[in-house]
Amino acid sequence: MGHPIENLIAGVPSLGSYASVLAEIEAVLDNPQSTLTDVGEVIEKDPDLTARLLKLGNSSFYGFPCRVETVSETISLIGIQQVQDLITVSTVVEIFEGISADLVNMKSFWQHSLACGVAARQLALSRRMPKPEKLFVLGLLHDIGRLVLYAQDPEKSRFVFKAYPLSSESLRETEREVLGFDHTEIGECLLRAWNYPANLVAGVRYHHHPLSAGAFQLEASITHVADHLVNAMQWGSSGQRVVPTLHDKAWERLNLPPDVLESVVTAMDDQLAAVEKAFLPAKGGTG
Amino acid sequence: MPKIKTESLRENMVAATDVKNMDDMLLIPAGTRLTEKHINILLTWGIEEVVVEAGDQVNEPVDPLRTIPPEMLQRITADVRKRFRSLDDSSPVQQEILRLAILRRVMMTLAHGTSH
Repeated sequence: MGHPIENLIAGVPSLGSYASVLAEIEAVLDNPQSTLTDVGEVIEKDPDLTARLLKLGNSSFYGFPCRVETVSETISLIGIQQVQDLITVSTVVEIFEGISADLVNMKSFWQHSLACGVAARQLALSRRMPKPEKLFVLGLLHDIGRLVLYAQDPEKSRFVFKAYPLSSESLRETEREVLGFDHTEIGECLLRAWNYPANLVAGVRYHHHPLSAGAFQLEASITHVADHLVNAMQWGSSGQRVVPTLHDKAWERLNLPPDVLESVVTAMDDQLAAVEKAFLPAKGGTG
Repeated sequence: MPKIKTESLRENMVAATDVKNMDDMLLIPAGTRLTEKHINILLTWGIEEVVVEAGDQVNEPVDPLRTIPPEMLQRITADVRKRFRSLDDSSPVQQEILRLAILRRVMMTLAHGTSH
């Protein structure tokens, strides 16, 4: 018997069906003679992934003035790192399919997560941060620890929900009372096991108290603000019934004027549907 | 649908038709919600006017928070405030997020005829 968190993540598959695609892309990138077309060809072997990337490349998420028609065009516009990030995200969505509906409404959970990703990316764009897609991935994964708990220990998850009072307490506090740890610690442990970069690990771990995130306070703060905003606007839900407290110090860390939030919200209204179409499994086998 | 001079375009207006330059290169496809960047592209290419979707008038849209009955606004505000675990009324950013959340609830109420 190891630590309870380690036991939980031991049951999570390391990567979904896209693992081989990611490995192949790495191999192509390692070859100095390879071109974007070679990378595109690897991805195009997977029709589902190709469709997702093209859908996203042609959506308001990027807002490119012309249509992209091939995967290599998409890569040249959004960058190979971002494409890898997007594949990873698709992988994660796939890994957690099939969690019991009485524990969590998965659609609502992913809507909350995608919205948080889109909001975090918009905040990063407003700050002109390099690689804003990193923040999209971070926002999307911030509550991943909850999914690990629901998927690996449904019984304990039910205890948590039973103990979760209707009063204005946060779900995270109930997790701590029932389990002795919370979803941010599970998320941290999982992303470490998946060899995720330190800024993502810290962003997930500290999204409720971002000023403890050491060198990654900015990433954690952006995720913290995005999570608060998305809860306030009621885009999906990760099971939380109240809007978590916003720490003003975290907001100050972003160094943005408050009125930027209105443009973030407007942009999100446009982008959410596109992002959901690209990442969420279409019911009934269409799309 | 109204044609708007490029210099009078505002962010969030929606282009109703494809906008092309003189070489027939597509600059902005129909249905695009314009951003400052788009408007700069149009200005750069010397596009003089753009057809935008009806309703995207040049005038500022009316603030729905000022037009709905005060008792409805009061009820919605109280409802939305209850959802926040804590709210600092002296924090500009928290007040802005509260305003956006109330605005959203008002828009949904107006669209669906209910506040629940």
